[in-house]
Amino acid sequence: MSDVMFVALAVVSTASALLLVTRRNPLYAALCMMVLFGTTALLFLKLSAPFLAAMQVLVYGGAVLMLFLFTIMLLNLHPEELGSEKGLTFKLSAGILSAVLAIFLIYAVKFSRDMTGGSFPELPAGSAAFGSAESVGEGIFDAFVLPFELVSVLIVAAVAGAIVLTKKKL
Amino acid sequence: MSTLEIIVTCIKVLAVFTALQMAVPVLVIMERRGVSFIQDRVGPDRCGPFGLLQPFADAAKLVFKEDITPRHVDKLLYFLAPAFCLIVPTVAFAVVPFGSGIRIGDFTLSFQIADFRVGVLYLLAILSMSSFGVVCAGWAQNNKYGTLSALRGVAQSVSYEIAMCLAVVAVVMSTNSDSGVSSTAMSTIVADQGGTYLGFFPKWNVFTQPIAFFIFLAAMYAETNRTPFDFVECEQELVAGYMTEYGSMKFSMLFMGEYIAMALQSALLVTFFLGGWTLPWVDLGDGSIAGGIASVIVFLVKWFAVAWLYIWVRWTLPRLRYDKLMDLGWKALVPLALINIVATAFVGVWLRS
Repeated sequence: MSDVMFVALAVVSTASALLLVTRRNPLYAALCMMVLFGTTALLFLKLSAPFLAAMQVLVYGGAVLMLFLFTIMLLNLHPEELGSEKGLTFKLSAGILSAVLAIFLIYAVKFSRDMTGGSFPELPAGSAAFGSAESVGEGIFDAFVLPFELVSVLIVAAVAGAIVLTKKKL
Repeated sequence: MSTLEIIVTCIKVLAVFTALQMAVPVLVIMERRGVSFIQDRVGPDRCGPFGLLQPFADAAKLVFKEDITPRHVDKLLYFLAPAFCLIVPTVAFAVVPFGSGIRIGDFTLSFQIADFRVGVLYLLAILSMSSFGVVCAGWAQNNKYGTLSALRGVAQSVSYEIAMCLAVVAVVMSTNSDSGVSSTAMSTIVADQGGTYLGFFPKWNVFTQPIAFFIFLAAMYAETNRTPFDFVECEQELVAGYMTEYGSMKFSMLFMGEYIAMALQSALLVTFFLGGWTLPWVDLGDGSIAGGIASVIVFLVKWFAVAWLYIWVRWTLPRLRYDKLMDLGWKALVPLALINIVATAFVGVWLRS
């Protein structure tokens, strides 16, 4: 049951990822991206990380995707403005690079399987709440509060930088 | 999950879905008779007693209309958009508790489809995708009114979503989760609002979180694109906005999606701030059949009151100016919600120490 679900989700997410990069119409690409984010969230849910799943949809499916859509609609590209089809050399080199990456990833999975003797280790006892909103919150606001606050300083700096760069007159 | 639980969940899904579909005609007749009352006229009163069958007549008319697909539209998105508009608010209803529950032997029939531990996050995640349908519809119809409407829709819902999420954060913070239950589960938020202060004053969040309540109320109107924030389809400027090129059943699906979104937001306001299915002076969560049914009735009464507030506001307030809308969202509601969160944190620590 669990394997069937995983295979179904994996097939749908891989297919939507492929469609995402092959669509020429940006709005269709965004649609595929939404499917991709949704299936990724479901995969997180299957790995018992409900907080991560909710954040995946909330941040990527909601905020980031909406930002993309906003930009796409503001640009409002006509079919002739989408650029010409890429040449054969480009397609071939991109294909080879992707194949190399895929081989590396498959090898990495195989390597980790061999290291653990074919089965992934069980989670230590008492980690039933691993990935839940509570344990993530405790991690962020208790154990790792200093790095978390430093990251937020970094984000504030980035936001201020974006405003300075885009605003001609402050 | 046992077979019985799966069957019961399927029945609950069907029941909630049907109830939502039936909520649309109820809301439509409420709105049409309500606006007539506010504008001092009679309104539809010919179909059935008090015009109660008018929405069904409207639906029959829409079904029998010719289904036209304009030639210049983007076919796939044009067909997908109405479905999307309808699905998103319906799916979000899965975590809304609409009653306490009935205990039969070992089995508890809870009046909620799924009680996730991260129910609030699930809800916000689904709601964050709600403007996607508007975008698809507006863009697919390949017409200036639709595109403008979709642009406004995205900008508006992204802005007000932030304020709405932050208002809900304050509610989650003030929810008591000492006994090991998750304060992000919808059932906990409702159960925490049961009972009274000093024996008579309702323990509703609207009294402990008044600022969050008003922020949520304002964001609610913006999220469902209704006056005073109906920039997405303001008739005088954009014809019907993203619905302009739609007709027949596809139009009615967009229309139903809008009303179901309104039903959802009313239910959320009741759940987060008005105590959900709880009645302050009576304990309805004891698992008896009478208590279970009474809790559903309590929820429906509160829901109707908020739905009426929706209609009342729509036909009373004029539309804002577009820049005022953005100013209100970003310069008033978001900072206010942030201050509210910090204040809630301070008060919470002070109460606990």
